[in-house]
Amino acid sequence: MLQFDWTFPVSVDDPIARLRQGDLEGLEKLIPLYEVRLYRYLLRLVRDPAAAQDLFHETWLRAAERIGRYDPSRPFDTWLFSLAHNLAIDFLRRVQPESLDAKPHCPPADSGQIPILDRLIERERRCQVDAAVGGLPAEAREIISLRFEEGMKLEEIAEATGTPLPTVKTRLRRALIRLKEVLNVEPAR
Amino acid sequence: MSNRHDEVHDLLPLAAAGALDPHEDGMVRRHVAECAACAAELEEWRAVVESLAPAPVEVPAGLAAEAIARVRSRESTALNPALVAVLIGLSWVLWSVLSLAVAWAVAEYFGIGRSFSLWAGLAGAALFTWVTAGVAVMLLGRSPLKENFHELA
Repeated sequence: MLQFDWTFPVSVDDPIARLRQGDLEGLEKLIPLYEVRLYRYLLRLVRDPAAAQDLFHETWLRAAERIGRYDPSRPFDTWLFSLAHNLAIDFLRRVQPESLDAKPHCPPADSGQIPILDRLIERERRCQVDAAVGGLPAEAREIISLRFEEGMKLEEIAEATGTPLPTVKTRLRRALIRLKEVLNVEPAR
Repeated sequence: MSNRHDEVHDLLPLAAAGALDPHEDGMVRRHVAECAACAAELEEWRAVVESLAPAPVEVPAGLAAEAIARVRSRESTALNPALVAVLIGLSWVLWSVLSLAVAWAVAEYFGIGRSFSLWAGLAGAALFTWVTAGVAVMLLGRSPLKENFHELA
């Protein structure tokens, strides 16, 4: 049974408030809003589409069970991603180390009016970036994902991952140094 | 100057990532305005950061719909903690009455004093209480809603 907050004021337009009141239609509006971001984050972290899919479902199950604990004065994103973080870390601790050497997930090429050669070059570049990020330790991959793909501030990353802010900055710096060595990216002139 | 240069040099990756506090950011800005080497390296770091922009991701078809279905399914099959508490209470009463009745019947059959049968009945009731409570703890411990039960408590 879901834990509801009967004292929380209901707003028809606020899916989070509706969920806290036990209205599952709030969840039906929230999940699509976070579908791409949350799945992308989990995929970046566990590097396995099937596992990322399972963790996506588990995250929302946990969110529904614990919505009564969510502090509405804090960003929902941070809380949601903290649930996903905990589930992903538990998964990575259970998985055998050899299975973590997943093949890089090469993102699909953008379609549209871009010439096909440019699209192929872009896809190759993205594949190289993805392989480079995939080669980082899990905690570094996570910070790269949350900072540059999900656009979180460092304070939000610290809250979502339960990591002190100085540690987040240190890990981010080390991850960027390693990526620069691997990617050998030329600055734009 | 050398110390400042080294200090700024170490901050360049975070500067490119927009991860500096206002003091550090100001220090970097002032230094790169004077140091061509650091300015050039900052551009290199910015190129690295730009390469990390979000890439398209293929989300599995029906991912959101399945998540919604799973949550609804979990809610419909979940144990109601209040109902479990009522069942525990009723079972305790039932076992207590049953144990007292059995103790009294045994005492009557074997001609044992009623005070002994009373104590035996109470001991039986206590035993069944512990057994019932233990079973309840195991059941709720396996329940996915155990955290909700703790919140109710």
